[in-house]
Amino acid sequence: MFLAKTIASEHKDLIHDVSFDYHGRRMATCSSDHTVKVWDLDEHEQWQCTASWKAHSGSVWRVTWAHPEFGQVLATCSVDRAAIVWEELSSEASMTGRGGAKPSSNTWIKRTSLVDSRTSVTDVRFAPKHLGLQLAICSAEGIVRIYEATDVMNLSTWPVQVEFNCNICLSCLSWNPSRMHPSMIAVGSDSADNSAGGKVLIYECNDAARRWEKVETIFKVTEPVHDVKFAPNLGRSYHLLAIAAKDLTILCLKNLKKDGNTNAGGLSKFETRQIGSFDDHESVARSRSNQRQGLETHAVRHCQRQPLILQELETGHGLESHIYIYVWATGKIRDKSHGSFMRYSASFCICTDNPCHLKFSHEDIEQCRLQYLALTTEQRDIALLTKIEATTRSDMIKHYKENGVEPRVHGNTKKLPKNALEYKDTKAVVDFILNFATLNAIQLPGRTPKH
Amino acid sequence: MASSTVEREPSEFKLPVPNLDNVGLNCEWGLGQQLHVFQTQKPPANTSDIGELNLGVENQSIFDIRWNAEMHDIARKLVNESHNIFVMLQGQVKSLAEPALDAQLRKASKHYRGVLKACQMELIQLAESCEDAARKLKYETYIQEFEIVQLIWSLCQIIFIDVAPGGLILTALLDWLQWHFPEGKYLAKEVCQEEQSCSHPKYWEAVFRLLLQGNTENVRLLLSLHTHSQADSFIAVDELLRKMPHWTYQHAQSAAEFEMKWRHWREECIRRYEAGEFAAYPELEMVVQVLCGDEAVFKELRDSCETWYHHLISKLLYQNPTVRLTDLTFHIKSSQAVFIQTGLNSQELDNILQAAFEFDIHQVIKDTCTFLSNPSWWFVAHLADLLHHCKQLDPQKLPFGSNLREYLLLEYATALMSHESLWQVGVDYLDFCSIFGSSYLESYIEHIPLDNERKALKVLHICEERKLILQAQSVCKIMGMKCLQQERLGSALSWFLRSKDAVVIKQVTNKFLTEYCEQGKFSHLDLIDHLGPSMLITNSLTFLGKYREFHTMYDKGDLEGASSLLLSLISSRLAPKTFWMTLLMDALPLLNLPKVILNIQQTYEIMHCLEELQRDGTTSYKTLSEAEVEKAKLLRVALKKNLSRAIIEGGSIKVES
Amino acid sequence: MDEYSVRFVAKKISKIRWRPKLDQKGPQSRTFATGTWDDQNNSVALWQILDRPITSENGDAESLLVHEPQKVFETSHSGDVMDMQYVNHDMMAVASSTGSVSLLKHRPNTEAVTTVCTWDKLHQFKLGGSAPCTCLATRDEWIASGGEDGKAVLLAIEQRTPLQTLDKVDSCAINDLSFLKQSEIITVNSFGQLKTFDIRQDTSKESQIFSVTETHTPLLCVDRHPGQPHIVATGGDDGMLTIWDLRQEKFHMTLMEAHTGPIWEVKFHPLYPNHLFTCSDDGSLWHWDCTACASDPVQPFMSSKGKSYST
Repeated sequence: MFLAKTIASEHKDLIHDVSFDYHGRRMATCSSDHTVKVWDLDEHEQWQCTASWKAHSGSVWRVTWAHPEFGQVLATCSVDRAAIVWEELSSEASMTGRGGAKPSSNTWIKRTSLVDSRTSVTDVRFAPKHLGLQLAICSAEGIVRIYEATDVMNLSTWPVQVEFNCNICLSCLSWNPSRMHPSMIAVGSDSADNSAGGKVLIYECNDAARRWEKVETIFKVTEPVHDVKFAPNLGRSYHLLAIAAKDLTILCLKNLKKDGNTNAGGLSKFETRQIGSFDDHESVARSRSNQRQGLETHAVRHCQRQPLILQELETGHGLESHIYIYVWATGKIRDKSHGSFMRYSASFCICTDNPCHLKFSHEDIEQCRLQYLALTTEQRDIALLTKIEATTRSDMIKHYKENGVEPRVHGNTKKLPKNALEYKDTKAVVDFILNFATLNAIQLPGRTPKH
Repeated sequence: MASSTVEREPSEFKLPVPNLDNVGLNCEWGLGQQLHVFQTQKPPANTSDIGELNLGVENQSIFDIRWNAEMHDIARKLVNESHNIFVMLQGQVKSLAEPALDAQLRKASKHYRGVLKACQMELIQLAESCEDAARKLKYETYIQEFEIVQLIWSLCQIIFIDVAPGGLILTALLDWLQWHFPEGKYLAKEVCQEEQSCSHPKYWEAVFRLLLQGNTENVRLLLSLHTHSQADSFIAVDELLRKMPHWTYQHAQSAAEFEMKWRHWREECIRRYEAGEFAAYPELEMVVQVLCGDEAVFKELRDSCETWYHHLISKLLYQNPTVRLTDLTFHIKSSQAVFIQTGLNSQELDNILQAAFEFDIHQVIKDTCTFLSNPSWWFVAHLADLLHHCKQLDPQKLPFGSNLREYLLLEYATALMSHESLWQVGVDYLDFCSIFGSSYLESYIEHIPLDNERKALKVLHICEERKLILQAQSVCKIMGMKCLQQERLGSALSWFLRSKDAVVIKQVTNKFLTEYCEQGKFSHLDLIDHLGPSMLITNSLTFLGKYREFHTMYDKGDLEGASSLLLSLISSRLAPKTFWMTLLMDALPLLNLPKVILNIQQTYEIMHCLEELQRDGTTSYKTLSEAEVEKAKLLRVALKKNLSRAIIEGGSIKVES
Repeated sequence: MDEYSVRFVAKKISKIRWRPKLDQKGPQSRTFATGTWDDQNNSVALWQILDRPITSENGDAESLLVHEPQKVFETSHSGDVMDMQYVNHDMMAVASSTGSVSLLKHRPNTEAVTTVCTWDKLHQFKLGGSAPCTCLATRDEWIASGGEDGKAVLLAIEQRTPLQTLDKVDSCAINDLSFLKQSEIITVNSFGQLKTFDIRQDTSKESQIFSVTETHTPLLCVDRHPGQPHIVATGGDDGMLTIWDLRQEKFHMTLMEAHTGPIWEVKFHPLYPNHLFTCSDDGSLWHWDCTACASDPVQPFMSSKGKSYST
C-alpha cells in the first residue's frame, strides 16, 4: 500500500535534482529558475523550506550534500559553467534535528566558485568521506576536475588536484564508495555520436604515479548515457555499476589483480560482466497496452539503506513515465517492477470549461477512478450508462439475482399504506375496461393495427 | 535458487500530475522505503548550453511516497518479542550441545508461534473496535496473513523441527489439523446444544468432520446423543470406535506392533461392514466405510475436508497410519486430484504446503517470500534461522555470497534499520549475520540521525561494542561539527576529544585561541583548566592548556614560574603562527617589571622569535595593521631595555654584606 | 527480590517513575508513569497495578508484583521524553527534547493527567536553535531543568516565567542535575565533571568542580544521599559508579567498576540510604549494599535483554 504526501516546491520552473543529506532529515532541491532550496523535516514529519536563494545565473543541474563530518556543506553545478560550494551559517533551527524548524531562516553563504570549466558543468559529486573533502566535476567539454579543500574549517580554498580529459561530452559521474580500492570514478557521456565507442569510462587514481588513468571503457553501452552510479559496497568483493542509457545495464567489476597492486604501474584490470539488462519492458508492464516506443532510462539511483537500484523510464510520446524498482539479490535481479508510477493524464479529460482536476482534489479523482476500475465490465456499463448511484445499483443487482424479474417489494409489505392499490384492484379495473369496451363496441387502442 | 519465481503483479500508483511534453519523472530515495518523486526534464539535457527552460511547470509538487511502512507499527509487538526469542536462541546455540539444543529449538519454535497468536488476537480486538472501514480492511488482511503464517509455521515445525522418533508423524499432523480447522468442533458444540441433536441439519456433518480429524472420542459422544443410540448398529459403531488403536508417544510400542494391531482392527471393521451390521442407517454405513479406509467414500466426503491436505491426512489416518514422513509425497497427487483449485491465493498456499510435505525447504521459503506481502520477511527470516540451527537448511552459499538464512536475515534487518525507532532491534539482527552483517552495519549505522546527545551516545556505544572504530570516530566528529557550527566550543571540544582525531582537535583549539584574541579572555575555563592528560593529544591543545596555566600563574603573582613557562611556550614553538604576536605581547609586562625576571638567554630567545616572525613571509604578516607594527616597536624597546639590565645583572656580582 | 512481573509495551520507554504516596504511612503506590522516545509519536502513559482477587496459598500478603500493570491512560508528547520527575503527589514535570518542560497534573477521581502548563524554549543554543532539555530535579515547589545548551533554569510551579536562569553553568551539555540543599544544585556533564552551584548567588560561577578521570568519559546521572548531602553518587558512560564526598578536597571519590555499559540512572533508597541502585545500558539492574562500608554488589539480576533505562 502506498502513502503519498505532497510538498509544494514553490520553484518557478522545473526541478532538476533533489538530494537528501546523510541522515535523511534535510533535503535540497535545485531548479531551472536558478535557485536552490533547502528543506528540513520538522517534528510533525512535514517538510519546511528553511532556505532559498539564487545560486547561479543559469539552470542549476545538480545539488549534492557533503558528509556531515565536514559540517553542512552543499555543492551545486549549473549551465553557467560554474560549480559552487555553499556552507550554512550557524543556523537557527536545523541543527537540533527535531526541534522546530522555522521556515526561511537559515543563510547559506558561498564559499568558493569553481569556474575552470568552459562549458556547462554537468555533474558535481563529493568524494567518499575517507578521501577527505574532495569534489569532482565533469563538464560538457569532456574534462573531469577534482578539487580538494585544504582546510576543512575554512572552505574558501579548493585548489585543483587533478584534471583529465575524456574527449567526449560528459553528462554524469560517480565515485566508487568502496574503501578497499583506490579512488575510482566512472563517467558517462550522452553524446549521440556513435563513433566514439564506449560511452562509459572508468578512471582510477594511480597513487604511485600520482595521476588518474583510464582503466576501462565499457563498450557494451553504446547509447547515450544519462546517469551512472556505483552501488554502496556492503562487503562485496566486486563493484556494481548501474548505467542508465536506453536500457538499464548493471555491470559487475571484479578486480583481477588480487594481490597488492600498489606497486608502480599497478592499475587494476577489471573483468566486467553484464549481469542485468532491462529492455523487455513489454513483459514487465503487461497491464497497460499503450504504445511503447523509444523507452529510455533517464536516471538511476541507489538506495542508501538497502541494496536496491532504481531506474526511470519514459516513452517517446511523453504520456507515461514509470519508475521501476529493482531489488539486487542472489546474484541477479529478482522481483522486477515492484512499483510503477504513472501520471494521470490531463489530456484524457474531456472537460473543456471547468477541468475536473481543478474542481476536485487529486485524491477524490483517484478514489473515484479506483472504484470504477474495481467493478466488473457489466457493472461498469450499468454504472456509467444509467447514472444510478452505487448503493441503489448494487441493491437492484442483488434483488435481480435473487428474485429474477419481479417487482421489487418494499419494506412495508405487511401493511399497505392507505393510498396503495392492490393488484386485484388493478385487475378489476382492467377487466372493467375490457368488458365495457366489448359491450359498447369501443375499439381499444392497440387492438387493431395502426391504432 | 535459479528456478523461476512467481512474478507478482507490479503494484501501480498513480500521481496526479499534469502532462507535458519533455517533462518526465525522476526521484530520489529517502529513508528506507521512501521515494521523493518530482517532474524533471526529459531527456536530461544538462550537456546542452541552453539554460532557460520555462517549460511551463510552476510550483510543481514533490511527492513523498512511502510503501509498506505501516507494518511495523501494527506488528511492533511481534517484532520486539520475536527479537527477544531470536537473541536468546542465538545465545543458546552457542552454548548448548546437541540434545539440550534440540529441546531449546522446539521451545523457541513454540514461543514464536505463541507470539504470533498473541499478536493475532490483539489485531482481532483492534479490528473489532476500529471504525474506519479502510483500516479495518487492512487489519483483516493482516489477520488473514497471520493465520496463513501460523498454518505454515506449525506444519514446518512438525515436518522439519519436531522430528518424531521412527518418523511417524500422523499424530502430529492430526493435531495440526485439529488446531487449524476447528470447524468440526464448533459444529459439534452447536449440535450438542440442540435439544434433539440428531435432527440438527448439520449433525452428520459434524460427525464426519470430527471423524476425519480422528477425534473419535467426540464422535462417540455425538453418536450417543442420537435418538437411536441404543440400536445395535450404533452400539457396534461405538465399539469399533472405542477399539480403534491410536499411536501415541507414551505407548512404548514399536511401529510394527502398532501396525499389526491396526490391521487387525481394520479387518474387523471390514468384516462387520460386509456382514451388513450397519445396513439400517446409511450414514452409519458411511462412518464405517471411513473406518475401513474405503477410497470412494473419501471422495464423497470431500466437502468435509476443506482442502486437499486435510483430505490427505484424513485418508492416511484410515488407510495407512504408519506412514512415514518421506512417503507422504506419494499420496499427495491423489488427494490433490480430488480437489479442484479455485482462486489464485489458495493455489499459492497449496504450493507452499505441498513443498513442505515434499520436504523441500527451499521451495517453501522461496514461495512464501513471493506469496505473502512484506510482513512475510519477519516470518521467513525467523523460520530460516530456526531451520538453519536444526541443520535442516542447506548451508550452501548462494551466488551472491551468503547462505539463505543470512540473506533473509539481512533483508529483515535492513527493513528494520530504515525504521525510525526499530533500528536498535535491527542492529542486534545484523550481529548474528556472520558474513555480511558487520559491513552492512558499518554502512547503516552512519545514517542514523543523531538528534540529541543521548541518542548519539547510544549509537556510539553500539559502535564501540562492536569495534567499529571508524564509525565511532565519525559519530563523534559529526556531533562535534554540529556543536562547532553552533559555536558551542566546549561541547565541540569534548566530542572531538572523544574522537581522538588530532586534526579536528587542532581546529577547535585554534578557534579557542581566535576567540581569546578577539575577546581578550577565555570563555570555557571550566574545560580548559581541567584538561588533564588529554592535553597531550595535539600540540595546540597542550599549548592552550599551558597558556592558561601561564595566565593563572601570572594572576596569582607567581612571576618566576609564569615567565619560565612563557619562555618555554615561546621557544617550543607550539603556538600557531597567528598567535605568536599575542604571546610576545604577553611577555611585555614581564619585561617592564622593576625586577629583572628574564635573563640574557631568555631575552635572546624572545628577540629571536620576534625576528622570525617578522622575517616570515606569510600573507598574514604582510597585512599587519598599524597597531601591530606599534606593538612590535614597543616590544623591541622593552627587549632592549631588559637585555641591558640583564647583562648588567648577569655581569655584576652580588656583594654580600 | 526475585519477583518481578514483565509487561510488554511496544514502544521505547525512556523514563519510568512511581507516583509518590499521598502520605508517609499510606499504602504503597500503585501507579507509575512512563515516557517514550525516538518515535514518530511519543507519549506519556499512566499504568496501574490493578487489584485482582488472588489469594496466595500460604496466606502471605500478596506482593503487588504478582499482577501485570495495565495501561490506564496515555497522552501524546511532542519530542522525546528526556526526563520525568514527580513534584508532589499530583503533579509531574516532563522534560522534552524540544527544549520545553510541561507540568502534568493528575485529575482527581479519574486516571488521567492533564497538562497544566508548559514552559517553552527554556533551552536554546546561543545562536537560536532549541536545545533538548536533558534533566529535571525537584525540590518542594521548585523545578530545576538542565539542557544541552549548558544552561540551568529554575522554575516555580505557579509562575509562568522562570525564576532564574543560570546561563553559563557549563560549556558542555548537562546530563543530570540534583538539588543538594534548597539553594545548591549539583550537575554532571559530558566532559566528566561534577559541579556544584549556589543559586542564591547571582553569578553562575560554580563553587566547586570535580573531575572523575583523565579520560573525560561523560557522567550520565547523579543522585544525592538522602541523609547526608555531602555524599553523592554518579554513574558514567563507561559503567563506573563513583561515590563522592564533597567535603574533602583531595581523594574525594571512590570508583567502582560496575557495568559493561553506560549507567543511565543511579538512585539511593530514600529510607535505607545504605542501599543504592544502578541501571545500565547492558540490561542489568544492580543493587548495592553499603552497610558494611565496603560497597559490594549484593545481587545483580538481569532484566530482559532489552536495554533498561531507569529505575
